[in-house]
Amino acid sequence: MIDQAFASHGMHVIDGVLVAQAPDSIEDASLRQFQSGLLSRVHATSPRGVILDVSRVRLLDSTSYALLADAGRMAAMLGARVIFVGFQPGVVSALMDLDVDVGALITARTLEDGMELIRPALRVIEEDPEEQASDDYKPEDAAAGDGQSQTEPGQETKTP
Amino acid sequence: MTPARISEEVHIDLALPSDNAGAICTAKRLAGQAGFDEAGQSLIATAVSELATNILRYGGGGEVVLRLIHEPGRSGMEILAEDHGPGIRNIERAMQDHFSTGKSLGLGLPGVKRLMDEFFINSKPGVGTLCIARKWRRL
Repeated sequence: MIDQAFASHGMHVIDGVLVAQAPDSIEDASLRQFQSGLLSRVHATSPRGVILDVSRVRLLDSTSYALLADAGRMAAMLGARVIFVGFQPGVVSALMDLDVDVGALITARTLEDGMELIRPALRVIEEDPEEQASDDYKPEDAAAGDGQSQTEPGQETKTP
Repeated sequence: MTPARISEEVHIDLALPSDNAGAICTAKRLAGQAGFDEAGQSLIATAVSELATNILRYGGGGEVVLRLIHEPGRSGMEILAEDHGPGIRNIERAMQDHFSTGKSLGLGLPGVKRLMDEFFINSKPGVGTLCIARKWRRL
């Protein structure tokens, strides 16, 4: 039931990143529904990153922009790195004229670029062989991993 | 604001929050008809949305009239937004920018002025508010 509701919001987890499609709507009700759907999904899945795909959004006025930006802030408060992807040129020029505060937004052109911005945190995990089997997490694995990193402290400063 | 020749006019009543969507839809269609490109249509539709939102939120409902207008050498679109709500006590303050002064009334009116080419507002407390905004396109 819950998953179906999320699916209807167009939210998917890819590589530990929650990708959510913002609705093309200026109506308070649907944007608030998107906010609460995103909030509970982020809380449930604890993604390290959230990509808010706004490529379908063709129109934003100051009210609907504020609701969308708030959705991003909510996800950020839960500890996710939030990237807005795919703002349309018409939307951007309207937002400039409306003089809304866009300073806090991190944006990317495409989904791929957005994933790239979140990826640095993912790479660390991929490179650590002990963490490969992170699905079957065992305390002794973690202990072994810790021991290894203590004996080779130089690895931590190595550039990727 | 001098009167311009009107070739088409659409009245949209604003009573429910969902009426805004209809106003935006009509605005986009008419702007396209007036020859505005997609970016121009988007700016006009955004202005309509700002004005319609104000009417629905603060004006107790009202009306938006969208017009295709013509003058020698140019055509464009006119938005007339009217309500009979409480009115705006201090128009000067309502026209101030949010971030430059931090004292905006939050009605988005300076934004509408920037989105469009011409802007007129008249408001009387207890009587209502009338906004007219135009955007032109050279022929």
